[in-house]
Amino acid sequence: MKRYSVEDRLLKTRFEIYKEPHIIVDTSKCRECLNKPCIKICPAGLYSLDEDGNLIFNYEGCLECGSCRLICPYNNIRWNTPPGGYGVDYSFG
Amino acid sequence: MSIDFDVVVIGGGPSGLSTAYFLSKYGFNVLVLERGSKLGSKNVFGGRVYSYPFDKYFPGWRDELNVERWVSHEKLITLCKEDSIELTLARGSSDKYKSFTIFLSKLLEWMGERVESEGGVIATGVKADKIIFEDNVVSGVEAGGDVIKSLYVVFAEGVNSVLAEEYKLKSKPSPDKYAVGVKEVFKVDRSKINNLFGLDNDSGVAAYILGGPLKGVRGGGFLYTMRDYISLGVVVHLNEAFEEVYPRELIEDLRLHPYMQKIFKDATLIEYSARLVSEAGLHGILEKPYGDGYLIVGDSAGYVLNTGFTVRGVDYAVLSGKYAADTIKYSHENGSRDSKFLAKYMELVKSSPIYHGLKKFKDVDKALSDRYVYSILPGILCRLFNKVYSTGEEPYKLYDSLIDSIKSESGIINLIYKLITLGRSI
Ligand SMILES: Cc1cc2nc3c(=O)[nH]c(=O)nc-3n(C[C@H](O)[C@H](O)[C@H](O)COP(=O)(O)OP(=O)(O)OC[C@H]3O[C@@H](n4cnc5c(N)ncnc54)[C@H](O)[C@@H]3O)c2cc1C
Repeated sequence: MKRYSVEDRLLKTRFEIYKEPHIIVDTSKCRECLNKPCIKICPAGLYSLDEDGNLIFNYEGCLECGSCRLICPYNNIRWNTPPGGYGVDYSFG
Repeated sequence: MSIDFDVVVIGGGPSGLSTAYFLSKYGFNVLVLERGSKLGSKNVFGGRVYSYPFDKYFPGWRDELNVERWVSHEKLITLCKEDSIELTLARGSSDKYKSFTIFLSKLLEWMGERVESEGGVIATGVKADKIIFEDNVVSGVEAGGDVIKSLYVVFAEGVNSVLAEEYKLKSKPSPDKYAVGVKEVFKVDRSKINNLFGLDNDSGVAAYILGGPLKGVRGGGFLYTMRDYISLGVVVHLNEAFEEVYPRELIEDLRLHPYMQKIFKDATLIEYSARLVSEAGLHGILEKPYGDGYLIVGDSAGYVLNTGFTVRGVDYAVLSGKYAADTIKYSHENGSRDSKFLAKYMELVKSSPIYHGLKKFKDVDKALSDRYVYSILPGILCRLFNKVYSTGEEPYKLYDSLIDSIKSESGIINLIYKLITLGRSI
């Protein structure tokens, strides 16, 4: 049996992506953050580091679970949901 | 534009729709705002719902709601490295109809029909953006530029209560008592599901999984059989993200364990979803889930219980909706929107199965956040079973196997102490 990558899995879920991000990450403190738990907790793997070690975040593919809302030790993730009718659209939740 | 309703309910999950159903039945003019494009678009849970609140408050529901399967088999699956140990409660026929599996989208669609049949209005694809206060009394909401005035507002936003938190009606929870649930749903032939678990078409399995890839991780796995689908998931304590734990990979590790391979071979993945869940139990409920002009219901008020084996949240959401409706009816009869009258809600909650359940499990949050439990229990079980059923030249006596298994994972005194604490809390 083959392992599914997160990308494989996100392709199975329906999204209606809004043109603007609903989550804003203030990355000014990310370098100080040793653990960067957001990278590990996000079920969609939307937090990562670029080549220079800067935290990058992509809101497309957000499952709207809310984990990053609570986990950021610096409280630097401004979490909201997309406008009505946008974002993830589950059928088997 | 300004529109008027008696009550605006923010959120069309189980708690919001339950509130709206009873209020509409009582003759109130109710509007439900749901930000998802349809009911169920935003809702995620494991898969099992208890029947009792529907039996009590939704007469006729068994003829209307198309459940997936009745839970006839409860399973506790302990995964070892390659082996697995399975403990099954096969329910007698009388208990079989006390809980069922379903997708929330189906449950909410049906609840929505109930609301509309009583004259309630449901607006999907509409998000409440702001709360309107008049003389410090919550008096409506703003949604997509429209002003919607109401006598009462019910917050049924679920675990991510963005609005209630923004307006300081509740405080932002700390991650310490929360877990993230990650779920994969697979299409599996009905006959294969029946054969795998020894089921007929309307009976089903609810399984709690520990050990294997989950060994030592604060959390657990779940599996629910639907008629033609199987849901597999992991629930992982948020603070595990400070260790090298990736819930999104754990669920795949779980699916690739030999026990699961036989189930998911040839199965087609159809959806991937995730959602936060509270593990705070009694300590997570709001002290004051009401105020002038408003009430807070369901997950948003903290009404969810993880017993360590199962999660109760939908039943509590439905019950709290009923209590909210009864409270609004009572306040309205007294011509009041004052928190003095709305405080009746807390009285109803406190004398209900919600509070009794949470109170009984008041220390469960400690057990659930103790890593030790998640590593020694599966460890001891796996070793014990392998010794007792040894296939080598020499068999082992049960007692020797037990002592050896315990010693391999933990000190005996420590284990006894842990088991007593655990035993008391779950
Ligand atoms: C992994 C996991 C497994 C679980 N397993 C089970 C289980 O097996 N059995 C069980 O009984 N319970 C289970 N639960 C708990 C259960 O899912 C919840 O207790 C239940 O869904 C709570 O219902 P609710 O109506 O309060 O919230 P939700 O179901 O979260 O509904 C809230 C609704 O409000 C909407 N909303 C939020 N903000 C706005 C806004 N501003 N405007 C408009 N709409 C808004 C959302 O879109 C959403 O539809 C589980 C939970 C998780 C996370």
